[in-house]
Amino acid sequence: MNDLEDKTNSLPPLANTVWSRMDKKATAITEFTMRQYRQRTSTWVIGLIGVLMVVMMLMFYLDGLGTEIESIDQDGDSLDWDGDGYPNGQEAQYGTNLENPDSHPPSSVEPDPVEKWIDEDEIDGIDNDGDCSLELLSSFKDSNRDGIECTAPHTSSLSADNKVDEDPDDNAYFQEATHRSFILGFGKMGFVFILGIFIPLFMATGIIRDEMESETLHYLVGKPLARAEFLVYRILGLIGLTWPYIIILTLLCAIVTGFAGPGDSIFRFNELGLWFSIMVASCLAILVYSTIFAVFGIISRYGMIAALFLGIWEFMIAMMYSFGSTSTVTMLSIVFWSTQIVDAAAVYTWSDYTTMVTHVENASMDLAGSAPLQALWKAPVITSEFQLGPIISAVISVIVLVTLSASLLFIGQGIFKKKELK
Amino acid sequence: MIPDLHQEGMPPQANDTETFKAPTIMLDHVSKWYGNIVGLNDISLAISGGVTGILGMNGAGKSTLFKLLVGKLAPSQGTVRLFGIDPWKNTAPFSRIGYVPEHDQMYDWMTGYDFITTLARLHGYTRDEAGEKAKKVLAFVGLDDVMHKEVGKYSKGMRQRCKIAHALVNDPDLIILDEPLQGCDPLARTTIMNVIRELGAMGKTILVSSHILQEIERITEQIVILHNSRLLALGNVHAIREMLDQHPHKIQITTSDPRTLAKVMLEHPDVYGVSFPSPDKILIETHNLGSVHQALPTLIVQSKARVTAIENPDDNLESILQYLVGGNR
Repeated sequence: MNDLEDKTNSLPPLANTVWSRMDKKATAITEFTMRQYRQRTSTWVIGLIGVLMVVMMLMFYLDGLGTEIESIDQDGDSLDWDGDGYPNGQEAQYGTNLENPDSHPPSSVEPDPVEKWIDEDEIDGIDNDGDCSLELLSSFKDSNRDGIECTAPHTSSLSADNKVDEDPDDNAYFQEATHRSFILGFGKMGFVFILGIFIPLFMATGIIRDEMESETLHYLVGKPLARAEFLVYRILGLIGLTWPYIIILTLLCAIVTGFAGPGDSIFRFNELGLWFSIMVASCLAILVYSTIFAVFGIISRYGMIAALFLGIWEFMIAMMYSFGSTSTVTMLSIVFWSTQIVDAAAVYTWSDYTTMVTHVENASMDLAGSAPLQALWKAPVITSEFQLGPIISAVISVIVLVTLSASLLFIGQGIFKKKELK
Repeated sequence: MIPDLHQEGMPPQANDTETFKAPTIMLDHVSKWYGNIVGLNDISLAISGGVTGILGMNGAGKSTLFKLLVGKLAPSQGTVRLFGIDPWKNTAPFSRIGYVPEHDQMYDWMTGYDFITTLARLHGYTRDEAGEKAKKVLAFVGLDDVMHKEVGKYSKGMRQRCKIAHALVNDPDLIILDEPLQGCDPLARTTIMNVIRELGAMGKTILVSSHILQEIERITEQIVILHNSRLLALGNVHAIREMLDQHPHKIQITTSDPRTLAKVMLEHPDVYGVSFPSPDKILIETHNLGSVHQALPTLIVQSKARVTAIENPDDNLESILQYLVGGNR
């Protein structure tokens, strides 16, 4: 017992090891950076603008969900061509002639109300109203030739069975599509792109440059601490402010959309994963942009201009990408890799997503809300080109972004080390 | 050139490596230029211990010298060593130095205590250690009563003292103060000078720059004069003073009765000339400024003249340096 005590006493206290000493410097700079940003008015202005944007978008979202869409009969089976009181759908079900008023289901059968033949199907790849199975020829029942009768395909390469999903509930579809479009659109453009680029633009460009210009850097780098390390801790301090900010905002959106989203469940739990991916993607975007802009700031006092040029480049790529460009040029951007993460997560969250988009497209149906939904989602390029799962695609994107910021940081350290401070 | 009276740090012999201790500061043929502008021209210098005043006009290269020493700049030529280590390549010597930059900018939103604690933590102290050390140094410079006030609300002298305190927090062996007295009122000057003298008495190596000879004289005897990016003189301030005493000085007195005063003045042995630049002024020429200044009050009382102003028209560093440069050519 005494031996053990002696041993523990003879060990050097942790506070004196090299690592803990370095650690103390790291926390000191990180803490200082956070305090410095917290006392700046500009930080609060940027933060408030971001919150305002999120709140406004959420208001638009809630308003959009409140809109009721009038149901349309997409396949026309609610009509009664021969005027015998039985809608076409019901007549088809009984195999009577749609155009002959004398040919109709037996009089013991009550004519269905017209509404029954509107919105009788769902967008789920299943023949909910059973009109596909009424086809006489099995080649019609399996026009997509997937071997199973009356299914809609998950790929767009083949045309769907034309009587599957042919008259969905317009309002339900619209609500669902609006909800998903909002998450994708706002998640990718609002969080990953706008917040991801603007926060670093205003906050990271001056992270070293402002100190150089105001000559206060002399206090910080005249210390037994390598400049390379100093840069890392400084960026870490910025991350310590921006990441929690993003996390709180995404959580807020996840909670609001989870409760307000359409459907019978109280809360859409499965979408928490998607919001998590949006959070990860925006945080990584902030990390990469922060590093680039900080390096621009170190190189020149006009670093802000270079940062703006990069911002325009990223914006153009984001535009091209959302207009459907699949050019490999889009890969030369940060916004491409960060939005990939969200796209990949969307595949996981909404397994019926492709059906919802492609089937509407193939059936040339005019469904309210389908257009933005088609525009906003893209199959992750890596997944579709190399036949890899979406999770691989997301992991590759994360690796690309982390590697990018690490190598940029490395370059920045080299430049900062050789920078003379006048 | 004035002989090198206090030069130290001869190159070590191969056999006495045990007794060899690297000089605190060593510059060997160091030059620094910014584009076409020369900041420092071929400076060789070694200093260990004591308070050394670095004297030079604005733009003479004082700040460049200091920035080379604290690793902010890389020398264009030559080698700089701090405790035998290249400060541009290695940050290790910074744990043994304290640097007070010339510029007045500080983090105005921080309190004096915060400012020093935060920067002390960059030396690797824990929060508590840093806090204690900060309190100690703030008390040393006499700011303990205002340490929880924001730096932005400090007076110029308090800011300078706070900057000095920040440089002392790691108990450095070498303290570099770039123009610590600039812009301070007389009271603050005296306080800061006392602080510097006290630090010198503690056996630390201290470099203080200034462009005012009288200021440096009150702090130290060992001075280095930089002029036009070159090392003009290095040595004891008395040696330089003696040379300056040979330099004719002028005192200009504005008085109601110049003739009487002139008569009295001429009786003083060190006064060799009096002229009248305007009806109410006399200009006294002397080789010994000190003794004339000492006798001046008595002589004025004796003459019963009304004196409204006494000026030393050429007692500034520029004219002294011009004299030194000219006298040595």
